Amino acid sequence: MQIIVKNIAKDYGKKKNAVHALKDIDLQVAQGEFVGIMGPSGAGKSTLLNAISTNERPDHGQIIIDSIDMTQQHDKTLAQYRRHKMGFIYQSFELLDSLNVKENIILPLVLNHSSKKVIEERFDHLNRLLDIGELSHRSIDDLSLGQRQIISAARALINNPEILFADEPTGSLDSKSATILLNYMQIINQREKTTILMATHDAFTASYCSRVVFIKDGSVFSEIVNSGDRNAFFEQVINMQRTIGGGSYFNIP
Amino acid sequence: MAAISIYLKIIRKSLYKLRDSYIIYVLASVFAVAVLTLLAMLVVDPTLKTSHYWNISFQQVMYAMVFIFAFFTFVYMAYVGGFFIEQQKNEFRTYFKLGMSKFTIALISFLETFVVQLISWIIGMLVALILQKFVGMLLVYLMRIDLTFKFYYSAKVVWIMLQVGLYSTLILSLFNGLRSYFLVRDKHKKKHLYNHWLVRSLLGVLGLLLFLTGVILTLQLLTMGRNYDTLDQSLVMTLVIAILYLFGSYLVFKGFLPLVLEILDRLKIFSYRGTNLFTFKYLHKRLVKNTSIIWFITELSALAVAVLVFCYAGYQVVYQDYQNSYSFELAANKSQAQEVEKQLTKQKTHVKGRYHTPIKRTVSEVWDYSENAYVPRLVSVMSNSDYQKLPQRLTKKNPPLKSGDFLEVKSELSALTPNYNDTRHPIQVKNMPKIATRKVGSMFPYGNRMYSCYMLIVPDEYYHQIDSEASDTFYGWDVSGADHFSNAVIKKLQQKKHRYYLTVNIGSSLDKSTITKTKATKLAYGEYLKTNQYVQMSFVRQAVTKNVVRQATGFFLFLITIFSISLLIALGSLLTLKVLLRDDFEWRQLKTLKKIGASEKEIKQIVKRETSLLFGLPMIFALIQSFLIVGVLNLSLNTPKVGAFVLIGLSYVVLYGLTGVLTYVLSWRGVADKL
Repeated sequence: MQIIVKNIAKDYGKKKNAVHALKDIDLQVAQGEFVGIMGPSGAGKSTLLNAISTNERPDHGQIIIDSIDMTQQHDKTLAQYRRHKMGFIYQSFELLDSLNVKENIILPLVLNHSSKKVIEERFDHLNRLLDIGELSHRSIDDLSLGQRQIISAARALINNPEILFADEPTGSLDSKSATILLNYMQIINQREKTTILMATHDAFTASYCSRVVFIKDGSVFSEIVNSGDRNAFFEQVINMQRTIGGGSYFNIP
Repeated sequence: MAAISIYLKIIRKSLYKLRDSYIIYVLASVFAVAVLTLLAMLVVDPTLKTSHYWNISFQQVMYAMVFIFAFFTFVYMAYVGGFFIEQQKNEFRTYFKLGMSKFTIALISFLETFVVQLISWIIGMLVALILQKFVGMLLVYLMRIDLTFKFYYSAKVVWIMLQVGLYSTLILSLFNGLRSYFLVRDKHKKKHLYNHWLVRSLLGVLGLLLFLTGVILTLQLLTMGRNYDTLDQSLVMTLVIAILYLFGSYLVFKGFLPLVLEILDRLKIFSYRGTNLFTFKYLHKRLVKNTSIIWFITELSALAVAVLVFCYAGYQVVYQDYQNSYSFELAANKSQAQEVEKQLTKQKTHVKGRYHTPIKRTVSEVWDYSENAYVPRLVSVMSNSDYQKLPQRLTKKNPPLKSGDFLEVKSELSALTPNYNDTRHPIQVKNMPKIATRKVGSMFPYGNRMYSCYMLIVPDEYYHQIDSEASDTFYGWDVSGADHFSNAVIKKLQQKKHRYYLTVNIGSSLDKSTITKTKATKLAYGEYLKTNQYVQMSFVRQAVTKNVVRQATGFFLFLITIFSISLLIALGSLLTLKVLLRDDFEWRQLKTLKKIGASEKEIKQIVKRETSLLFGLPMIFALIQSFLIVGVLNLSLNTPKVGAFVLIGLSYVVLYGLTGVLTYVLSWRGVADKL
């Protein structure tokens, strides 16, 4: 599914104290691409993801997905689109505390009125893949941060989304869990041709992407394309981070 | 100094953050204070006090109502005021964790409450001053008093109200201060046994059984015969039903409805559909969290509807009795008839019609249901042909009579006693054949104030055979417009010297019982009429009764209207606040749902279901419970008064429904803003 972002901007706050989170950003993501978005804190990564995933409307500009201008669609259509075509791994997990683990994961399918059979099949599949069987009947309150991240990812993947958005998906995970999740994302990207947009601070995580776009102060600063050599790409990402600056990670002399 | 500035900033921010909810609370409180002040002012109002229409009893009732209203206003303010402290619980706990002392936190909530309370009292009193004349005019209008109501404000009342307001504000602020003082520590919730889902569910099922038993017993109450044998039983039954409803509804809210939602949630056929998976759990939590408040509102609403139905039905009975007792504008007996006639001529009163009818009085034996025995009673008897000569407008209020029929006339108010229509026990008139079959009516020709005890309309033949022991003739005048009688004339006509006593001297048998007619004497202090001693009025100006009834009904209508509106506003605001005051957790849940892909329409649907649940439950349960009053009326008034219940019930549903719709609109607006 191709994504074209044209000249979008987003401000927060009132005139006097307005913060320009996005400034006329242009971006194109081809179908089946795995794009990373990097940049220092406050650069606008999450805002960009929220805008493309239709969770927030930009102040101006166009977001064209599958030849449809999302900025012109009604809320109801956008909700349908999010539900059917998109998955989102949120930085803050966004899990519903009143539901247990399994219910949280299957919720997108339930909202889609999928059949009980499909729901159970998809859940079993993810259960095997992410090894979350033991957690399925536990309450969200009883999970560690890492477990919550995995559940959030499972929920994003349950409806086989055509586009997957991930905001710091490995931020709370240990290296083993992070690797499992990233490998899975890579698999669905390669096999299912799922388009993935992932915001991250972590160069290792970014090294799974086919391209990384760097943004700074709400504008696209640069981008690097993965030539196929992951180690070289990792080095390129690190170098670009040093160039762009910001945050302790970026200020290594 | 810097610290004080921060505290003030915190108070200001809290007031601003909760402004929507505070506005509803302040408006409801303002209304309550305004009504309280208005009632207090009406008690001392000089226009009313100097008017001869304003009965001292009205003033006393109004005075009592001020205290009752003040009590409920205070309870409302204290109870609902606590919601805001509860809402800021997490914030206070954070302050505490950051090192703010409990005293400071208590001081912050004290000041916050103080500001809100003071604003409510000041605005409420100002509103009362503005509305004083309007409300006074409304009272005068409802009582149909010909009086020009003047604006008046009593400095004394204002001063007293200010003092009450200040004390109330201080006490409520102290309450809230203490609430937050004890709230800041994270307490480990005690795991009560009844909170275990199985125990709670079992209690819920028990609650449903209790409630359904109450419903069945209520229906049984409707079919119960009204007599002394069953009266005690039915009173106990009414009490039992009330208790069954009270406990039953609480347990249903606490255990059964959550169980239903739990079952729906477990049944995948229902829960795996759209937002149901979330909604069932969300509603379950909202229900469990608000059980006490929903129950409280339900019981209070049921009580309000029941009281309103009772008052309305009572009003109808009084009005009916008045209608039945009001036959002619002027009525007199033989001793004053000439004098009345003379005065009518003198005052040039236009008389539309003149009637007179001979009356016989003797002793009879009637069945006393309380003693389960025949007791001797005075009876006034009129012949059927004389009765038929009276204007049709009077006779048509009683059952139609053929020449051979007997009619027993009893006061409509005696319908409040059991067995009103029971004619199983024959009436025995002295030296006359027993009257086994008779009809029962409540319209006394010449008005019931002219009669003592009960009367009989009998066939002419029977009438002629009665040996009267104290005959009289009753006179009635229909006048056009006013009778123009001066106070002096009325006083003269009503002089006690024209009245007489009729005393039944009970003998060993009915035949040996007699009636003695004696001159009425002034009763000494503490002296009362003896049993079976009756006063015969010589003159009754029934138009006065009409005015008294009008005034009394208008006065009570005024109070009931004020109270029911206040109650509705209080309960409505209570529920509205409960819907609007979602905690952070509940807000987050709705937001997350949207992020996952639920459309606004679906979230709107959840808000709609939530409002319907919180408003619908009290409404349905209150209506079912208040239906008990129909059974009570059936027992006490001998008529179920279903019409009155339907009327009041419908008004309640409409008004409550409108409040619900308004709450839904406000609630959705709040949710949509935050999504």
